[in-house]
Amino acid sequence: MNSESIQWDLEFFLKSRSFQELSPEQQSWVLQQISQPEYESQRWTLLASADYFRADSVPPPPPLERVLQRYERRHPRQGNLSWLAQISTWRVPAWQLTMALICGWLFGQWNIGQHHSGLSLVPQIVYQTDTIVREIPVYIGLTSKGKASYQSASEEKAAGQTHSSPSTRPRGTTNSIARDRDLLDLTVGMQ
Amino acid sequence: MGFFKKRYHEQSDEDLMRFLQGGDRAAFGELYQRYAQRMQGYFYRMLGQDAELASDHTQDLFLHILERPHLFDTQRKFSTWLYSIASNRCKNVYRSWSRQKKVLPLPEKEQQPETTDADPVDHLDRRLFETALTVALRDLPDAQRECFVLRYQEELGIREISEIVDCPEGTVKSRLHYALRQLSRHLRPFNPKKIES
Repeated sequence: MNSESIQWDLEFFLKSRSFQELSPEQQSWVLQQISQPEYESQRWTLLASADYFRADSVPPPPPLERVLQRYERRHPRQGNLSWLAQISTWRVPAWQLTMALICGWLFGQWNIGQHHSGLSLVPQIVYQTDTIVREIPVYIGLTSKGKASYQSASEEKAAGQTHSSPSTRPRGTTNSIARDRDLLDLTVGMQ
Repeated sequence: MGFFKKRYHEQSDEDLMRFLQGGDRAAFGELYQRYAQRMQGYFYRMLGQDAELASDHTQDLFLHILERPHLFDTQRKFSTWLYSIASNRCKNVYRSWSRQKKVLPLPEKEQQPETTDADPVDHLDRRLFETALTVALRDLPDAQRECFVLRYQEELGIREISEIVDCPEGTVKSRLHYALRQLSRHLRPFNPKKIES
């Protein structure tokens, strides 16, 4: 047995039993280390010191807030990002719930997007139009020179008296007349 | 949301340090609740029972942990690491005092209310004994005092003390033995048996 383990065992004996309570073998072993009076004296000191340490009141430590305030003074916050750092320390159920919520939200957004991006063909009945159709009778005849002539009904009325001016023509007829004239020219030419 | 809150009081010290390394301030609060009083007691005893000095060092110690939690290896035992830092702080104080030729001050015990049922002689003896023990502790070599306080006040194991003071277990036991022998000589007058060795 080396000296280190002897000290350990001696301490155990000192704390737990008086010299008289030791067995004869233990007593002889102890006496190889220290004398009996020394054993008793050290045992008393050990127990009295332990009692003192237990009974003596230690003043309370500074409050936690004071430590945190000192820390805040030394390290002013640059941004409220501490929650980001805390995420990694969350417990597993919180992670699962958070991930489920995020996935659900993303799926919802994707689903809504799908509905809006497609063409929806909905039949609509239009009751009001902005186009006015007006029938204009056109009389077609051949001139002496073999060319087709044309006159609208209103122009026919005014024929021989005054030449109709474009301003008196009904609106929207000029183009159709011109188109008809082209068709007639084409027809006569073919004849 | 209580279900999702961490139950800090159920966590080990090492887990709390892991949380603190992740930026969780609440974990620090729990560690403070667990160890502030013990650290205060350690500094109080090691620094001549000066309450103000002990408070300052307790505060500095925990501030150090809050500022540098990454220095802690979560594979180690937290209390050992904490006491190691505290021990080093005490050594720094002793070095500073030795440069200034200053010794550990004697405590100025506050007047505690007298207990009417206690025997005044016993009470006086007790006060005298406390003063004598404080003086005897003060007169111990720093290394022996440290081991003695860690062993008999903080009630730490030999192996843990050896890690804290960074020396072999045999050295710790040896220091404890010499400290106890010196204290018992100092306190012999108070021993009711008064055995002459």
